[in-house]
Amino acid sequence: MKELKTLLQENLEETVPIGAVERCINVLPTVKRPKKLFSLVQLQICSIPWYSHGTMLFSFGLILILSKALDIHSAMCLNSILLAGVGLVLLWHMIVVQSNKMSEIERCCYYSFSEIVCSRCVCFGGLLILFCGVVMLSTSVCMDISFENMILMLLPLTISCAVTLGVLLHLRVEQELFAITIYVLTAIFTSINIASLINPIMWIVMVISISSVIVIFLEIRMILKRSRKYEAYSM
Amino acid sequence: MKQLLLIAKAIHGDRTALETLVKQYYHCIYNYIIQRVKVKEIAEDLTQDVFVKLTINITSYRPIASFSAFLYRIAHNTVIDYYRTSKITEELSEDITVDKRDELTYSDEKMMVQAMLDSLKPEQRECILLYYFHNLTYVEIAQVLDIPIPTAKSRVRRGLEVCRKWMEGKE
Repeated sequence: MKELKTLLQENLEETVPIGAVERCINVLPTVKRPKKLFSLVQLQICSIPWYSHGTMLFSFGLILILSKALDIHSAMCLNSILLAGVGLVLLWHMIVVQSNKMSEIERCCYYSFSEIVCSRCVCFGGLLILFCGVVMLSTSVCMDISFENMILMLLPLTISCAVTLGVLLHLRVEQELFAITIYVLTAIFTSINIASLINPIMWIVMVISISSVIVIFLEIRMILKRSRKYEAYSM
Repeated sequence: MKQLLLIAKAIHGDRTALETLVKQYYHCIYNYIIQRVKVKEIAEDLTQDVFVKLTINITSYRPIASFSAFLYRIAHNTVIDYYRTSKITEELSEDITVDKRDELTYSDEKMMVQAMLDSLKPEQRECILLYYFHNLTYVEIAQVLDIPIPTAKSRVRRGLEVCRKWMEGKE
């Protein structure tokens, strides 16, 4: 029925009145953008894979058992490695988003790339802080551990995160395996070394912890700034 | 892809992208509406309403559906709202606007095509116009009219049969 198509198009086509498009454009209101960060964070929370929850639960159980079964030196060393392991599972999502495969897809979706990265940081960072809080509370109950030692236990996690993000940012590495290797090596190296620092001077631990956290924040800020450059359109 | 980027820009408040979209689709929407209301002035006002509604609701657009279907759906609802508020039916409106239709220059062939379309049921006519004039797919027609895809297909097929019979009767 090609004839019908031609017949309709030749006879029903009406020309737009002169100036109608301009008149229409003049009355258009401005587009109101909805507040999306909350909905994005919700989306990220829903998309946390099952193995992340599994790893967290498994590590938590193991930390509790180790805290009771082993002496303080060995327990701290192993617990810090486990905490760093959980950090790696969550950091994996940040590493993946920085690689080209993911950013290509996310750049052409409804949300802007920097918003996705930001929501991911909020979601996984929040989850990690929550997990560390729970672990610190439960270990303080199980083991007779001082505050500085508890902070010391978090050092492999924070230092490994800071080093891996730094490597990703400065060397512009886009290979996930390389980033993971860096993370694991740093975590093991720091965990082994903190064993010799048990009962350290409080201010040294605090300085190292705070500076590594500050470095992480600065690196995440740089990631967000860089992800804005990746966007195909400016906001 | 370029189209999606344009829509994404418009969603993020880019006025130029929005204006480009209006320029791209104004002609199609104006034609869709004039085929339903038959009066130029009303068609222009309703087309304007469609694009105002699009601007307000563009953030709710998801790329899973085609943008044309989204826009035609707004146009379809705007025409329904127009008939509801003016308290006249589409068929009654056709009788009322016969005089106004004369303002448009109608050739013999145009009159014939119009008569052929008038012989169709309103729902068949709409599906025929969306499919053959506006080049929408069955899926898009189903989305615009909020009907199942097989219903859209059968309406087009039955409409086509009526048109064929009408043409044969004329010959």
